[in-house]
Amino acid sequence: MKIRKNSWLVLAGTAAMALAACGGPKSQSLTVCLASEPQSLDPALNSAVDGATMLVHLDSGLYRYQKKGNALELTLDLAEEISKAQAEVIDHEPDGDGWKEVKYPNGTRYTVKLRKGIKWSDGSAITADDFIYSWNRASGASLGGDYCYMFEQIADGVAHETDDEAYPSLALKKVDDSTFTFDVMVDVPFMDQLLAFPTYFPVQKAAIDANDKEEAGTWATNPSTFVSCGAYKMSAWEHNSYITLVKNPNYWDAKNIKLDKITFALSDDDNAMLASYKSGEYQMIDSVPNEQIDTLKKDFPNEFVIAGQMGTYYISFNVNSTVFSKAANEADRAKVRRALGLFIDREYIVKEIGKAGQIPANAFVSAGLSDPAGGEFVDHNGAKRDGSGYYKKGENDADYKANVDEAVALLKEVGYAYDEAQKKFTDFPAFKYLYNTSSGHQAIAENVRDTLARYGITVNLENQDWSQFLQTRKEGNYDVARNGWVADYDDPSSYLTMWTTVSGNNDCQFGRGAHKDAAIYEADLNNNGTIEDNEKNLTWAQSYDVLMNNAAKETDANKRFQILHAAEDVLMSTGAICPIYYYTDIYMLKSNVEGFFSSPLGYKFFMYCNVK
Amino acid sequence: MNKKMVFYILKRIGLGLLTYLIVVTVTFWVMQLVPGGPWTREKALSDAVIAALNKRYGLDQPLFVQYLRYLGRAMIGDFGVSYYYKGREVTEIIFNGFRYSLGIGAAAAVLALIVGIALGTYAATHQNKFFDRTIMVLTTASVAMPSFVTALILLYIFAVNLRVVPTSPVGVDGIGPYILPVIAASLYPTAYITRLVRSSTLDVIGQDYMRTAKSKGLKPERVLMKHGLRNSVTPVITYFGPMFASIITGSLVIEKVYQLPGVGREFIRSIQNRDYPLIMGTTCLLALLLIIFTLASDIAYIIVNPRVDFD
Repeated sequence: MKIRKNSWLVLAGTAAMALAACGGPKSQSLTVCLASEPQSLDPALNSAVDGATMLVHLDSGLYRYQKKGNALELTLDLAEEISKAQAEVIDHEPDGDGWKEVKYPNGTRYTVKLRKGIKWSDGSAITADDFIYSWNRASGASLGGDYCYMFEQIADGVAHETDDEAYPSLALKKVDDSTFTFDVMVDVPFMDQLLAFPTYFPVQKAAIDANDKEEAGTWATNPSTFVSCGAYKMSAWEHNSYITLVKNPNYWDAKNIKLDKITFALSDDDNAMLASYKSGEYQMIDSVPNEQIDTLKKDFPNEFVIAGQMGTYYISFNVNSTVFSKAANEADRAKVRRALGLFIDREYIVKEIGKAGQIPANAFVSAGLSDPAGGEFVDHNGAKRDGSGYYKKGENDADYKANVDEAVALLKEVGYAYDEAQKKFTDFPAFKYLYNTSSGHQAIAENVRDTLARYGITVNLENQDWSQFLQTRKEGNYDVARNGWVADYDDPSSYLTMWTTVSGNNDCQFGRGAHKDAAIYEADLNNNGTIEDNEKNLTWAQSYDVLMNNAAKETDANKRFQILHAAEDVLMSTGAICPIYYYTDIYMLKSNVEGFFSSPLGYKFFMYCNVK
Repeated sequence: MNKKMVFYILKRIGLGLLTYLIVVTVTFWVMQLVPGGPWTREKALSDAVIAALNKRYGLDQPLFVQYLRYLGRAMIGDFGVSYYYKGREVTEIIFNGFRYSLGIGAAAAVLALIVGIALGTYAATHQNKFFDRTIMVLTTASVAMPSFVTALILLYIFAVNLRVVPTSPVGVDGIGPYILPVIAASLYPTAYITRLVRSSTLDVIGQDYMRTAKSKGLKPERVLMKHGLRNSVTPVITYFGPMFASIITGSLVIEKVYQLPGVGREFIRSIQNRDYPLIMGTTCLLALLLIIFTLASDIAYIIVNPRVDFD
């Protein structure tokens, strides 16, 4: 693959071939660069977005994303028909050290009928057994996949995930070779998205049995043992250099796959990526050097793309931190945290530091998630449900000043001394802001420090390497830390479930330690959407956990979203989540490439591309 | 070889093994002290998954048991599978990166030897002439300048401005992308060898046996080649072993600048990912290389220079 050198020779050769073919269809190929060497291309072990992009080309699920007009839609892929019916579903849920049987009379049974004649890339048939095997494999803890929890929607998912020998399988049943059923307790609206998620893709048992004797995922590290079921198959993997995919003739819809070959160059050096893009070696790159963004926007107006992404950059406060000494109780601490969040100049951070079209955030659940009431979830957030969020975004000076005034008032209320002449607090305790080592996070941290310094508040910055940082945050050994979250699917539960007391992602430590007993929350527990009859003086477990539990069991979509909005109200009332911006996804794509699209989860789709 | 020499070599091998054992041990225990672990994720893994992973890799065993097990495997060069790159063996990952490091290291070492000895000898025989002075200035600069500076300057001139070679080897075939890294890696050793050879040649030229050879009527070139060189390159041999090991192991900066997927990059990544087996594998490999090349160099030295006193 000589690309840079002799490129005019290659060009001449291509022209000669085109002439020889007398205008016949030209072989279409793309070279793109998303990221460095993927951790794994076993769909059950991958958890990265770049890996997912490769997997949606290599493999396929029951559903797939396609572009229709300007919108994305899910269409049937390996399935010919998926039907559902009400059924009594039996789940096993934790009960002390064991499991108790729980019946869901209003559960749902999905029946999946696979397409006729679908085949693996090696020519053997894809059957219902393949799906049953793959889902049970991906959802068991023993495999060690990051995303095994994605199967918890299916009955017995939780019990099976713990590797309890009594539950060797999810609630899956084979009907015949091309039909199987699965049971869900609550028919969540994002079930079809899960069925299109790479973790739900089938893998071939024969390939795994033959290659994974020592270690899971070995089969997926080598083109000679990689058996795929999607639009492409792997033809080469030169580690740390490139992965090449070529069209899979056995894919059921191969006739509609336009691109013959995709080469994923493996690099994470923004500058090198951009150089190769400019020289024409790459037709698409998924990241660019931050300091170049302004120039690129100007120089490549048709090629520099800012797309929406479902993700929030925020600051998390440890609710059990005692650094704000004057705040004697949790209610006061909430005020302090909210005040600090109000001071942040989001507009400046987005415009001068982020530069990639990020949207200043005033809520935790990001822009881009849909709402059954129409529009997006963020259009209905905030106490008034009018999309005004939980404070002003500060997009103009008056708004920002209003935020600052509220912040000053809150801190005075808690008892901190304010020098009216200097417009500074004089006795606010210095605190530590923790971030993981990276120039981008550092720039934001420095801005937060400088902004707060204007009001007499001292922030000391501390950085840790990624792995240590994650552990520190998870264990709650911090006061204030940067944080970020990207959705797994288009549903607010993908954001809100993480703050329940028991969640492994509860970095704020809600409902734990001293916070367990703080009975200060109010919530709309009867779910009628009326704030006046909110129940008051509830603990975290009695408010937030109950709301999330109710949402998980609610079958009415509108009601369910009311509960989720109510949960976000409780969450934001803590002040412990200080949203900064909603992420965007920036990439560059040559203007002669048509038919490309990306999803708000960051997946890129090249298979329908046409290179002019 | 006399008895003393054999005993000396055996002693050195024994010391080398002991050094390896110490490196292996220190790495293991220091790794345990570093906060964070291989299973920390932005989206937390469940307790069941962490327990399953710990069990699979023996991390549920007491530390001392883990240490002994690892020690046994380290001695036979088996480091198991990577925790990060699923399904890939540590030895395979290391070999994959080592191809680049070794290739570039070997090419750079040969280049440094040839150019260094030639320039050093020439400079010594033309002492205080213009050429000698120029060489001295250039080599001083090369020794003093850190490799990330020289590597970036080369990259900027030849890859970015003149575009005679690609900036990175990702997705590019051929030797083009490796020319600059070889030159960058060879700069320091070339300069060092040049200075070493120059001063030892000057030393040798003044010796009695050189004057004797000259007075026999031999041509000056022949005197230098036949009688001088063997003695003047002796210090280079001592330097060569550690130099070769350090070019290979210490090319982290060069690998980073030129985007080379060498073993140095895997080493850094393995630490970031807390990929214990890969950390162990790369550390042990780097330690072993240093030990072997230093040993080989010492042995070569006593062969070339039989006057070495073993006591």
